[in-house]
Amino acid sequence: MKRAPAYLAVLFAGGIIFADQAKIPFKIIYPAAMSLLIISVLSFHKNFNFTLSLSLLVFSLGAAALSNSRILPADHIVNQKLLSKEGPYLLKGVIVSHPQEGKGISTFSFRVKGIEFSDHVRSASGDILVRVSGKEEFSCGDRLVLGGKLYWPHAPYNRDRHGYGDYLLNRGIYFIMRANSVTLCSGTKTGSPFAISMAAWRIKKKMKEAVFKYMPDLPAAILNAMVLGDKKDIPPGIIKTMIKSGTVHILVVSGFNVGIVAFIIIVLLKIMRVAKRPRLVIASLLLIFYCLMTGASTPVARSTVMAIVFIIAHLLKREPDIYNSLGVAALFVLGINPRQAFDVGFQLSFSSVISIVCFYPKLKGFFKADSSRLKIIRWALSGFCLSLSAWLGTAGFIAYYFGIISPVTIFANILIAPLASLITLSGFCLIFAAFLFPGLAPLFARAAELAVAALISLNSLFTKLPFSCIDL
Amino acid sequence: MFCLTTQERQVLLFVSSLALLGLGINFLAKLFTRPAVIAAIYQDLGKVDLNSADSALLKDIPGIGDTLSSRIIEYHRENGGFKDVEELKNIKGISGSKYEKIREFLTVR
Repeated sequence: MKRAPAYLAVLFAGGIIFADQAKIPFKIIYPAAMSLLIISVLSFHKNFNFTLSLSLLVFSLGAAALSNSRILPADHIVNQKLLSKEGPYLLKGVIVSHPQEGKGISTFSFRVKGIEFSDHVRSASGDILVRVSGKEEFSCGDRLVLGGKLYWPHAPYNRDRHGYGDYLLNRGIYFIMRANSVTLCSGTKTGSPFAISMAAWRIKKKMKEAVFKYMPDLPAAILNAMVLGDKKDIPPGIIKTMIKSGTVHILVVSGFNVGIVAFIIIVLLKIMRVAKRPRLVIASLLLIFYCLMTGASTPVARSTVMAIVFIIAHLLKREPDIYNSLGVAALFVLGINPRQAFDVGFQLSFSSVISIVCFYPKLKGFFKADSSRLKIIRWALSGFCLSLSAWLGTAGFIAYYFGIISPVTIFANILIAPLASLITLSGFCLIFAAFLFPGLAPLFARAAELAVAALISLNSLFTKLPFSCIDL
Repeated sequence: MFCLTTQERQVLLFVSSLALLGLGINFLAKLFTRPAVIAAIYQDLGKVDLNSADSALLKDIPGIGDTLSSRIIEYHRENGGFKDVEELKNIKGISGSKYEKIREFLTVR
């Protein structure tokens, strides 16, 4: 079998789903996995036996990973029985995500290290989501003492995974705190494990400032979301219409952006006459940096891993395989957090790529997209096939999670996706120009502004069409 | 079938073993983690403990003289100690205003 990584990723994901449904305790799954490892070692030279035991081992590893992720230590914030008492609480800990700022509120993930009770501080663990009003600036790695009330956003392990609480739970967040008091502990950033992430966040902030400096607020907010993955400044009305037209995916940093960044880096290094191997290694490192800069969301992590797998395959002079690189990306994401398998972002990201890879060539053949003499018809047919193949993969998930079916998505994406490419490209040009050639920045800003205006108008037009969006 | 080479098999087994080992260590670490007190907050720092104070220490508190200190010591002896500072109200000579005046200097540990 040529596609072992893809096959193993499917088995690992299957194990996760099995553990979720069967609810077998870790103490049973783990010895089973150990036994399978021993059987695999013993049957090392027997092809069939080895394949079978290795497959079962990877399946049980997926199950064990999910089961283990649901075991919380005794000092976890959930086990401290906080809700039985009245708040507010004083929590000590460290910021572990880039703070998102919008409407005067900073939101960030906070890793709790201690809880202050009336007469002592008790050690604690676990992540919470914190919301702080005011204009105080925080960054990833800051150590804080927070005071405020905690609340429970969900019922634990709810079977109906539609709520915001379940979304947070899949990210390992168990409480939300509205912090009334925030004290920054001094001397905390030296030697912080978040140093690279903090540097990425600072650069992102400077880039955001550059975008808002040269463009009006609305186009800047949309460009900021598409290039830097920060959509807090976009008015909810715009996001709502884009969900209806099925084009909201362009408002997040995705594989497409990673592709553009990789392309720009490789071209720039080529112009600087950097040799091929160092060029590809530098490109990989910068892609990881971009992934951290945009908050390492699932689609960006997926596409970054896929791009790096492609680069490694190129360096090793092996033929890259899209299914294998997808498999490695899935193993990477699920290995870090197996609960991502139940996250809508993970499901949409992987299902759309799998669907495009599977259906796009077949649909192109079916509609004879390459046989037309006119280039514009070939382009339109290819765009239609691409959009239809992505829609086929994601429509079921969108109907399940959002309760809508948007047939208009297929047609909207034919026009909106290329426009989004134009906006993303002009956005990157604007940012590079703002730092290197400020005189050119307004030109790119005007081009991006025009493209954003066209995007909003087109989107509005599509949502007004009859049967554009069917509520289920 | 995979038809993996020997090296590929070794790599897969090695990675699987590492993952399994990591899961086991992670599980054990969670199993043996207990919430520990990492700091004590003495909000009653500098206050006099009613259960361990002698007459001389009690007399250092503004508003407590010879009579009152001996009554407090006697109450402590008769009742086997104080459970709360508020029990002082049961002692003759410690009225509401007197209690309010001396309570901020006293604690029960």
